[in-house]
Amino acid sequence: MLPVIEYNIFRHAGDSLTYDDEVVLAASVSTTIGILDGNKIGGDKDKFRDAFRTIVETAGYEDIADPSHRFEFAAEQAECQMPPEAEYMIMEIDGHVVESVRHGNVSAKIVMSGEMRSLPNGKFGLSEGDRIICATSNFYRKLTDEAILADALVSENCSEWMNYMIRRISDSCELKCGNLSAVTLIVRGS
Amino acid sequence: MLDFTLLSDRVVELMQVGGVLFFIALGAFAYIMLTILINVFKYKKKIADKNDDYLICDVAYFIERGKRDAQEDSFYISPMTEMPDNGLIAAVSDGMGGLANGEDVSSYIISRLKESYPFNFDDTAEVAAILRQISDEIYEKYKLSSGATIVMIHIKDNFMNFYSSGDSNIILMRGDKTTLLNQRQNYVSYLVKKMAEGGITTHDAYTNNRARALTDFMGNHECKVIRTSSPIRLFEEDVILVTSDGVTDTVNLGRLSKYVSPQLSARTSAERLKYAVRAKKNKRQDNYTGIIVKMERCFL
Repeated sequence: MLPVIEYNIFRHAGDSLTYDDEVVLAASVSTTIGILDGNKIGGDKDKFRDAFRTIVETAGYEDIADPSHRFEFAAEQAECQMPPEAEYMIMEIDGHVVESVRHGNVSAKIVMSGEMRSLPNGKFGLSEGDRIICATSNFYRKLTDEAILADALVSENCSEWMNYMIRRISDSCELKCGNLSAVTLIVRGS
Repeated sequence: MLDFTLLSDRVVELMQVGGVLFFIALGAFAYIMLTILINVFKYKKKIADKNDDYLICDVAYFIERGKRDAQEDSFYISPMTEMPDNGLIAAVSDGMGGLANGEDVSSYIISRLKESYPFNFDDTAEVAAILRQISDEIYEKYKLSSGATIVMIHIKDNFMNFYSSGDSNIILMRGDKTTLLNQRQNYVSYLVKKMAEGGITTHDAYTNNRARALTDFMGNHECKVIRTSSPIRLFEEDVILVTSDGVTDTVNLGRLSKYVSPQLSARTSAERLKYAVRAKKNKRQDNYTGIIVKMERCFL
């Protein structure tokens, strides 16, 4: 039985004039999530954002010889097409396995056994009720792991969890702290 | 060899009685020692089965009246002797300022908590339902003309669940970080959510006249009780503070580590924090209550 992935996406320009990050979520056979930190790429931001969006959105459909290598293919594409200084994370949840690749300070954390842990690169097993947050370093900057953990454990759904964290960031800087991008995910039963 | 024929019958009789008593005492001694050894073995096995460091709670509290006419804070700490089986409960209730009978309501909440103890650590929905029931009882009596906040922690076997309604505090100090665990249920949350959704910054949320108004509290009908769905793991030298807002309104979160430290005993931390609040000489000082729990290793 495949789990259902509940998610909530937050995009906010903060006190910047433009929103330069990119958050993409593509659901097909699997769920693929990508976050690109727009502040860390110079030059033609729109071009790189478009390329990143295409890579993540097509990750689930890419016509390659071995479908089990879809994610690796997307990761390779990102490595080739993104500038070296780009900070991004691509994560694919397929059944009860999450596979991720990160470049720079965009990262994911997972709630496990009453603790908050960083999601490692590569494959990681999931079980029902697991909670994951993937966000830019700017989003994490005003949050402690204990705060994210407490908010995750008291929340009934992804949007409530996200709202709790936004309240904390707001208490700290009134959201005047640059672009903020995050995705919360909860693994539900089928 | 001994020749008992030289002894009188009386002496022999006494020796026989003495011998019997000696063996009874020896048997009793052996029985007691055996019982102690079995219990120590069982206890060690119980700890080993946990496959974990066994932490104990060092607990201290203070409760002080500020510039208010009455003490509207109440608190509860469960019996320490019950901790191995039922865990530790620490709760603070703060009667809502500006409303009548705050003192009665907060003490009623605490007395109902005492009645309801022990709580099921593994079913936080059940405990939250008890708190909602207490809230509804207050609602039936006062019809929103009075209310109180509640914050409660339940620590068992290195894990902690917490419950909250209103704007009192549960604070975790771990390493150099101080984190408010429970979100305050006030109008700011609603405004921030709306402004964030609208893509704007949130300065106006804090200047709104109703910003600090509570959106939920004990005494509200079917109040929302914030609760952990599964517990938070605790570590050695974690310090948990359960306080009314009278403490954090005077000594803000960022400065708590100046007075409360894992290197100090809970009692010393409690004393330092209490005197820090008093020393501020706040002319509108609210009543202030705090329970400090320090997790430390047990060297049994």
